[in-house]
This record gives sequence, structure tokens and C-alpha cells, in this order.
Amino acid sequence: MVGYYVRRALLGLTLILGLIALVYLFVYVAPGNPAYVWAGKPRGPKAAEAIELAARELGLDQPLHIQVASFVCRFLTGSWGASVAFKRPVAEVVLGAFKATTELLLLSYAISIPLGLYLGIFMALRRGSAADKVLKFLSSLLASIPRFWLAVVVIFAFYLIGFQPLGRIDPRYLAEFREVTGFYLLDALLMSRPDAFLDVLARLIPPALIVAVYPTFYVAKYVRFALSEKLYEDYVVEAISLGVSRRTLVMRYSLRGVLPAAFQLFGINLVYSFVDAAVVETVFMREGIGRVLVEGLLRSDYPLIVAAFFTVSLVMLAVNSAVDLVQKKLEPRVRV
Amino acid sequence: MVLAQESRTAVLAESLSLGYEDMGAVFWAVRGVSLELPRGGSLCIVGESGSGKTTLGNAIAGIIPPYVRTDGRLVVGGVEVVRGSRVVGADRIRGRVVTRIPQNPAASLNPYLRVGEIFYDVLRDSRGIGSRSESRGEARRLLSLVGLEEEVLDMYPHELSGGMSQRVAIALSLAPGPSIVVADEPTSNLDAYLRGYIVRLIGDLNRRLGMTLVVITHDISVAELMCGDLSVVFLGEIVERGSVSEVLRKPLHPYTSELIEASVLERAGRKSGMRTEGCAYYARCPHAGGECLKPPPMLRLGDGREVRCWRLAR
Ligand SMILES: Nc1ncnc2c1ncn2[C@@H]1O[C@H](COP(=O)(O)OP(=O)(O)OP(=O)(O)O)[C@@H](O)[C@H]1O
Ligand SMILES: [Mg+2]
Repeated sequence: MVGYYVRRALLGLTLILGLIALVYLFVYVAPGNPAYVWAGKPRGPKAAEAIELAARELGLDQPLHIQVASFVCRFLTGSWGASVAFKRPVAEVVLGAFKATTELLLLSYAISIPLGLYLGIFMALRRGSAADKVLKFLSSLLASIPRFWLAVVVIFAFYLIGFQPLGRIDPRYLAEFREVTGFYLLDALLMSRPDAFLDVLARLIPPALIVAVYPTFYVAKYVRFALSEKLYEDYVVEAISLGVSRRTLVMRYSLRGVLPAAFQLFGINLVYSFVDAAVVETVFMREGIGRVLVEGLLRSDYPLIVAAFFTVSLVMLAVNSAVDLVQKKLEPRVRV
Repeated sequence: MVLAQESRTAVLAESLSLGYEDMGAVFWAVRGVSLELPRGGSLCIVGESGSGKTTLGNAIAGIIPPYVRTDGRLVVGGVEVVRGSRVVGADRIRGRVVTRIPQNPAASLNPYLRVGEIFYDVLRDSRGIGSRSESRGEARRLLSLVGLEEEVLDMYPHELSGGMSQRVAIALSLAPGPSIVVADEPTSNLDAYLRGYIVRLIGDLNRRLGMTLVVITHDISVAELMCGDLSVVFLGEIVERGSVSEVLRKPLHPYTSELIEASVLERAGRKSGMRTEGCAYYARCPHAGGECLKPPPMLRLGDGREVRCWRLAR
């Protein structure tokens, strides 16, 4: 059991290290001098200096495999270098952005998980009814609508009622606002400023809802389908024949068979949610890992891209391992 | 409306038909079946695969899904279940008056719950036993009826052998305290030794516990060991009925004779596997004679044709 998770973690780590090495190779084979690329293709009076610094950082005078190894090592020890785009240490930029995105995704999934499961169960129990048909149509529609379009529509709708849910907090709070944890909801609470808290929440909910749309309806559709099938399983019919109540049937007989896969779907969906978050953060002008990636790509800020990429991969790995763990707990037949 | 006299019968069917709707057309799996089973009686329904036995047995157990079409009338335990095209009282008998021992016990136990939890759900919902310790005590008592130990309660269904699942399923069917039990092919997945054990167990539900018993099987030979009455169904219709011993002694319908022969042959066939002397086909051969007790030689008829039979040797 423990061995399985150790093996899994090692595999995941190897995967990430491999990817970092690969990113390095991309920088290396990119047209032009790698140091020039790594420094963010600088121009102007200080360019030569920056390129020289980058060349030293990359150890370009060493053989390639040493370059890769020292690159990976440096990365693992946390020296992620400086961001050209943000003119700050990469670690600082990535960590701050990461907290902002986490705040957004946590709220999204706090909405999405219960809502998706509830809608799925609701539809499965009322298969064929008008409510089921409407929800089925809505879920197909909402799961396929581009999120950036949705984001624009939502901003426009808010604009019409006179509120602009842009950024993470109203600029007028910024003077007194102190980032302690980096999670604005928490920080606002620590300041004991309910008005600031509500402002942060009001700006957080619209983008969180938009990011929640895809996982919610994706999972709802799956649960509806899988649960409908489960309601005809031998053991469910048997429970019916023994007088087991409808509530027990859904909660303990049918849903149990659906939940493990549903949670795994939430885990897999997280990848898409990062992409959605990137889009939504950009449209809502929010700080976040998605924006960092976009900004980094636009400015060829390779150190930043690699670090953001690494962080996202690490989170993905952690979440999916956790999901696996939950699934194993829920599914007695596949105990490892 | 249920007449006073009808409430004394355990199962009463009048021209009962049950069908499956399939793309607009209805396929009638049970056609115009009439039967009457008094309280404390035992009835065996025999027929080949696809003859509608499970469909009928499920209806008697109150399992009539929304896609099943009905006609005629069915009264179970004094409750009207089917009235023409309407299913009226299935919820009132299912898991109360009547329970079912399923055809495939391994698949009918919830794989996500320990056996004890399954008992707990059934006992709580059917008899309002809310405390876990009380439920465990009752489950232990039920398991002892089928010869299983308390440890089984802590196991998951996939940890049970075929015979154990079957016995757990029987104990579960007793949990709601039904007065009627429907057993669907209770012996089909078992080896010869277990078959005898389960047959006795189910027969005892009727003989010792006084329950009304409906047994569904394709093997007419086990009918005698469990039931008093016998109905033979063919393609959803009853073609012959009577007491088991009478029907077995003197079958009147050719289909009944065929079923009996098939069952006798099956048993003879099993024995013939053990024969070492004489013709291997002796037990099943319609032409078997005295000389067949000696092993026939292989006859060469030319052109590569060969046959081992005394009839051609003569
Ligand atoms: N859910 C269903 N939908 C459509 N047709 C069905 C359904 N269940 C059973 N049938 C059909 O009804 C007929 C009778 O089925 P049933 O299961 O009652 O037979 P059976 O006598 O129990 O057979 P077996 O000995 O194989 O269990 C079969 O032709 C079968 O194909
Ligand atoms: Mg059957």
C-alpha cells in the first residue's frame, strides 16, 4: 500500500523532472542564442549584460547533459531566477499568482462538486421528465460554450447593473490592504474589514462560477448516465425487492458505484480548469497563474514559464494522487 | 377489490399477462396465466430458458418495472398487485409480504458494502430496526438459519464463495420477515453437493417455517424435493399443472414428458461418465439391448467410415 504511493510519487516526480529537462532543450534548440532566449530576447543598452548573465546561469560553456542536470538541480533547490516580464524574483511572482489561482479554483470546486453531483442525481431520478430534458440540454450547451465568451457576457451583464467585477479587490482598499497569507478572502478577514471581504468575494464569485461551469455539467452528465444504469443493476433491483427505501437506494446502493469515477473526473477536469482559469483571469484582469503563463509567453520569459509550468504540474500530480486515494477508499474491490 | 376468500390465498393470478415494450410493439413474456396458491403452499414453476419464469416470479415478488405491460389480475398476500393494465399494489407487498431469492446471488449483493451493512439497510428499512447491535444480532440469527457464521457479516460480497453468496441471499430474503418467498433458479449456479444442501434449505422454509414458497427452475427433478404443486410453462403459457408427484408419475403434456426425459437423461449422462464396461452410450441410447453391456468393437465400413455400435455389428 505505502509502496504503491511511494512508487507513484517517484514516477510523478520523474515525469516532472523529465518535462523540465525537455523545456530546457526547447530553449536550447530555439532559434538564436539560448542565453538570448533565456534572458527574454532583450533589446536596448542593458541587453548584452542580461545575455551574459543568462549564459552564466545556463552554464552554456558546459557540455549539454551537464547543462540540463545543473538546470534541473538549480530548479529543485528553488533558485528560479528573475522574471524579465515582472522584474521580480520568479519564485515570488509564481507563488503569489499561484495563491490567487488557488483561491479561485477552490471556490469553483466548492461550488462545482456538490452542484454537479446533485444535478446528476436529480436528473437520474427523473429520467425522461421535463426537468431532466431541460437540464440535459443546458448541460450540453454550457459544457460546450467557450468560457472566455461567457466571461465577456458576465462582465457586460455586471457592467449594465453598474458593477465591474474586475481585479481581485477594489483599488480603494489597496492603501490599507496588507497581504499576509496571499489569499485575499483570508487577508480581508484578518484585517477585520467585512466590507473588504465582501468586495473580494463579489469579485471572486463571477469568475469562480464561470470556471465551475465545465466540471459541474461534465460531471452532472456523467452521474446522470452512470447512475441511471446503476439503478438497473442486479444488486439495486435486489435491494428494491427487499424493501430498501428509495433514499437508501440512491445514497448507498447506486451512488456508491458512481462516486469514485465522478471524483476522478473532477480531478481530471482540474487540468481544463487551469486553462479556463487562465482565460477567465485574463478577461477579469485578475492576478493568477494563468495570467503569469500568458504574460510569460508573450514576453518570452522562459524562467517564469518553466516555474509556472512546474508548479501547475506539481499541483496536478498532488490532486490526482489524492483523488486516487479517495477512489481506493470508496472502491473496496481495487484495494492496492 | 379483494374478496375475503381471496385474502386467504397467498398468490392468485387470473389470466395474468406480462410483456416488455420494445420500440412500440409489446412482447408478451407471460400469457394469460391463472394460478392459485393457498397460504403455506408450495409451487414449482418449471420451463425452459426464456419461457417467462423470471418475469412471472418477479411480478409475484412485486418487481414490476415501469416498462413492463400488464393485463389480467394478480393478488399477492391479500393485496391486489395488478389490475388490468395498472400496477396498483407492488410497493405494498415488495419487501414486506413477499421477498425473492435472486437468480444470480453474487451479482445481487451490493459490492460496496460489507454483508453486515446490507443486512442493516434491509432490517432498518423493512422492519425499522435502527440500532446496529440489534441489527447485528438479528443478522447473526438469520445467518445461522442458513448455516453461516457471524464472520460473514464483516466480509465484502466478493470475498464470498458461490455457495456462501447463495446462502447469504437466502438469509437476506428472510430478513424482512415475509410470509411468501419466491426462489428464482436457486440451484443453477451450484455444484452437486451444494445443490442438495440449498434444496433442503429452501424446502425447509416451507416445511419447517411454514412460508408460502414459489420455486422457479428449469430442472424438473429438483421440483419434487421442494414443492407440492407443479406448473409447467412453455413460451409464457401454463401447459400442465398438478401435484408434483402426480405430474412426474404420469405426465400428460408431451412438453412435460420431454422435460422429464431431459432431466433423467441428464442424470443418466452424468452416471454414464463413470461406466467403464459396456457401450459408453448405453444409458442414453433408445435402442439399448442386452448385448450393449459388452463393449462394442469399432466397425470399419470402408471409405474411412467407422462406427462403434452393436446394432451394425449384427
Ligand atoms: N427487460 C427485458 N426487456 C425485454 N425483454 C425481456 C426483458 N426481460 C426478459 N425479456 C424477455 O422475456 C422473455 C422471458 O424472460 P424471462 O427472464 O422471464 O425468462 P426465464 O424463463 O426466466 O429464462 P431463464 O431460464 O433464462 O432465466 C425472454 O424472451 C426475454 O428475452
Ligand atoms: Mg430466469
